[in-house]
Amino acid sequence: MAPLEPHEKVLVDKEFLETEHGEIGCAECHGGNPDAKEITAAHKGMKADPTFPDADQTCGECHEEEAELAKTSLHYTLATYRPMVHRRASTDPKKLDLLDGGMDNHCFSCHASCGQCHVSRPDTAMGGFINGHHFNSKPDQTNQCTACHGSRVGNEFTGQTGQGDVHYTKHDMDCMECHSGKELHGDGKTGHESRYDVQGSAKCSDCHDLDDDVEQHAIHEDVVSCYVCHSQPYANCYACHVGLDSKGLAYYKNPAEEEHLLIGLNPNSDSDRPEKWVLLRRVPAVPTSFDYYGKDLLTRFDQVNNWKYTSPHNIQKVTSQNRECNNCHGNKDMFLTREKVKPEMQKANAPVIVPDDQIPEKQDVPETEKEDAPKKRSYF
Amino acid sequence: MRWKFVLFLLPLVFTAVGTGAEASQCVSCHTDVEQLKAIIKTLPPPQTSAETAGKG
Repeated sequence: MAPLEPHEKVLVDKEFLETEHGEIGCAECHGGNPDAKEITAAHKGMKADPTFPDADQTCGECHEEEAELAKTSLHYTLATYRPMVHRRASTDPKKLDLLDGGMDNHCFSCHASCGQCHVSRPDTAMGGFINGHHFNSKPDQTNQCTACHGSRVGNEFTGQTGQGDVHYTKHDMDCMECHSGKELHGDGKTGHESRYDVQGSAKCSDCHDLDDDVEQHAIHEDVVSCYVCHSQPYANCYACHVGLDSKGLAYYKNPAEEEHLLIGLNPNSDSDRPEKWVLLRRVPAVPTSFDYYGKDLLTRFDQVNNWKYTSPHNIQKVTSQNRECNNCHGNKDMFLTREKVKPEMQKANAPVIVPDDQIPEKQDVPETEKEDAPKKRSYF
Repeated sequence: MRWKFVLFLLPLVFTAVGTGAEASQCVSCHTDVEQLKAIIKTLPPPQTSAETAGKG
């Protein structure tokens, strides 16, 4: 994504003024003083993004339902972050305060609002109008979605790492083809533990009826996640550390990502995702992630796994693992086994680590199908 | 009666023009590329931490 020139970021297209949104006075949404000639006076009290943290007085004037739902959208609230980190945290209230300060400086600086999906680039991508302040009903994949969801989703989806996702590379689908407004605007519920809990979140089965005529589908249905067979290796992060530099600016230090594909046990089995076998991605949380803000803030790190259920966006019909049964069966390298997890993180990841005796057994070379049995289609 | 109707409409027209986007100083500046470029030159560049590293 090419950076925007500073003036481009705030340059309003004159044609925007002829649109329905453009007919609304600037100050009605942004505040400030529209009559002032001098820059400081003109911008006094002005809100660059008047849709965050509450869009009721702006978008909500016409789009009442969306503005109301946005209050429960994880893009707005990041509501799963704090409970998840607190589960790993010291119970000492002073340490919790230090940790919350760190989270406010880092985790909660990354959010999206109505404006940052429909008008401008997100703040975390340095902002700026993507189209002269025109309102786009659908977010722009490059300037908005992958401006934040870049290193994993964006790079993998578009093929900057790996072969790309067939939905994009072959079928020219963008993010919004799978992720509906209903999902992104929020489902009106609170208390989500994970983004996968959001009602209406995208699933393969939204479009694909599982074809049981395919032998592997018939065998693996509801036992093995679609991603296990159809993903390529994906980025894993191993240790993010945050802090403030000498000027008080936030920094993030993360060693280079590593691409792996590892199968593990499903830690969040539910009716939508009932499979036993899923893919796991290492997330960058480590016990020392917030050490800048205080020592021993995450003393209960072993309460939550940092190898997480994942849904890589690099789907291909044929992958290296689905070409042969024994590319997975009996192949310990494909599974998150104990020795692949650092000793200090083995307890945290116990729910997802695959014990050696649970690795599916190596398969015999398939016998020739009986003549009277209908032959099933196969990828092999 | 017609003059009464015109009198009724006039304040509405002025109100609409006065608060509309086209009337504001915001618009005259934010639609003028050269003016924005000139202003940007006078502003300090946005700061990001020099310590940020990694690709994650």
